[in-house]
Amino acid sequence: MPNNILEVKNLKKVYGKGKKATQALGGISFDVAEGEIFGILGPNGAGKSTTLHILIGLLTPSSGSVRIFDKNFFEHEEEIKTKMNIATAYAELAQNLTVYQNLKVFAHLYGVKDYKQKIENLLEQFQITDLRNERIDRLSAGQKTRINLCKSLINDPEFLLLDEPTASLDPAIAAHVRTMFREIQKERKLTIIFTSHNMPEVEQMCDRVALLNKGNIYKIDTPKNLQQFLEVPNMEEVFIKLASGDLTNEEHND
Amino acid sequence: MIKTQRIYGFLLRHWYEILASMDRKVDIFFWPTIDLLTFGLLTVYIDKLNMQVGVTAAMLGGLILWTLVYNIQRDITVSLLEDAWSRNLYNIFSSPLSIGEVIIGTLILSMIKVLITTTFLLLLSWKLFGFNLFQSGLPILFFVLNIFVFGWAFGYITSSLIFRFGTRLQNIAWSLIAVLYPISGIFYPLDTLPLWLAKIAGLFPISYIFESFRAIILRGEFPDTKTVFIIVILNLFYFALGIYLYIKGFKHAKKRGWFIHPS
Repeated sequence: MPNNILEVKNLKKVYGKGKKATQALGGISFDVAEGEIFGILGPNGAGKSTTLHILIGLLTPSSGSVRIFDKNFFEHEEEIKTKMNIATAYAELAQNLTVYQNLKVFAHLYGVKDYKQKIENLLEQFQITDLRNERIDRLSAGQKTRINLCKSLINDPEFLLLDEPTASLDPAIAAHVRTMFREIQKERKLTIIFTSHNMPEVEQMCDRVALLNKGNIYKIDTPKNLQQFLEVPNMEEVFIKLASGDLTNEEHND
Repeated sequence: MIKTQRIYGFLLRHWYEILASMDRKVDIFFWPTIDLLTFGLLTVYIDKLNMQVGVTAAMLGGLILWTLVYNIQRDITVSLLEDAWSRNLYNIFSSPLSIGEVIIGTLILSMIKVLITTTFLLLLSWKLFGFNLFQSGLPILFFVLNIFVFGWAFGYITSSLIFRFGTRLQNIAWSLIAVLYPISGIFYPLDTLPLWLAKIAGLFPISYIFESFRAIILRGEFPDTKTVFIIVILNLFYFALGIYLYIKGFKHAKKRGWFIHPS
């Protein structure tokens, strides 16, 4: 039986109270095994980001449990987060600080010992050594994304959340980044949760994918099995079917 | 568990900001200098009117102590706003940094920034106007320490409001403390105030601090045990209240996802 890094049970998030209450997550459950790349797919508002934000401790759920590394996440948050990290297209680093200063700050926040060597290695891996002393506010969107990816690997995480990690990268760099993450994942048995709107990327990267629909999980399976199940030729069509609203969660429960 | 390396990381982030940002340098040096020059020159004029001995020292001292409390509370809140403006709150609070480490970090950060400003102001006021804040000896240190505690408390209370209502309330980082400016007896005795306003002023420790400070400078009278006791008790109350509201605000911010969309 695989060793589960993540166990999510009945995770629910409701914003507001009474008549104004909006449900973002309706009680989802899933597990992610060690070394697995687990994709979360869904149209806007399906609950992908909400799930990731709860898993990284930025959002408190209304109910449900999250166990990471076999520990209750909400009781051991700081300890668990030293072995986790996140890269998202929706956050920035301190604008007035240089690339190196930002990475140094995060190296300390994550308790990295030999941070100088680590930072140099990451800048080299992501082919941005020339940006070392540039201020963040002077970088392009693609350059910022690569710095964010560097930050996400600063602590050699065992569990990584990647929220649309290649969103603003050109195809060549995006391909390089994907290959790099695949290599790191194989070398270190890194566990990854991955969201993207780039379906070929999802197909290439993910071992299993959860289809999220209106805050609930419609189905979890390998990309190939999902295509077979929905009788479509590729993940692009899986997504279109999911986004069209034709799939109901009852369908999956049957 | 509190980790010193994470606190150091937090301090480093804001130290680099001071070095890089003109706004932060203006906060530390420019405005305090303008205030000191304005009030310093005013006291030179008052001196020429041959008023009571010590009035100028009381005014300059009051100004420096007020600059302390103002800067301390502002620095606590601005350190939070800085990451909200940068959209960096997401990365900061998805790291293992705990609320306890943030609190300790902001205490140390405000101390460093205020010590830079105060040292600068003390040197300037001594050089330009021959005024030495510590001319009355060690009791002044007691006031300075208590000014720090109240500044921290007020900063945490202000930050808790930012956690709860977002950056649309960001102006309170500079303005909320101003409510206490006219009623704390910084430049004039509390009995100048209408009775009802003096009663309100009595709820805040800085009123007793400024009143006692003036008594030392003007009459050489040191505060009695009761006044010292009131200052300490009120300060402890506000500090505990500030920390409580800050932690509560932090939890509220996590519930509504403010670290993700800091508006």
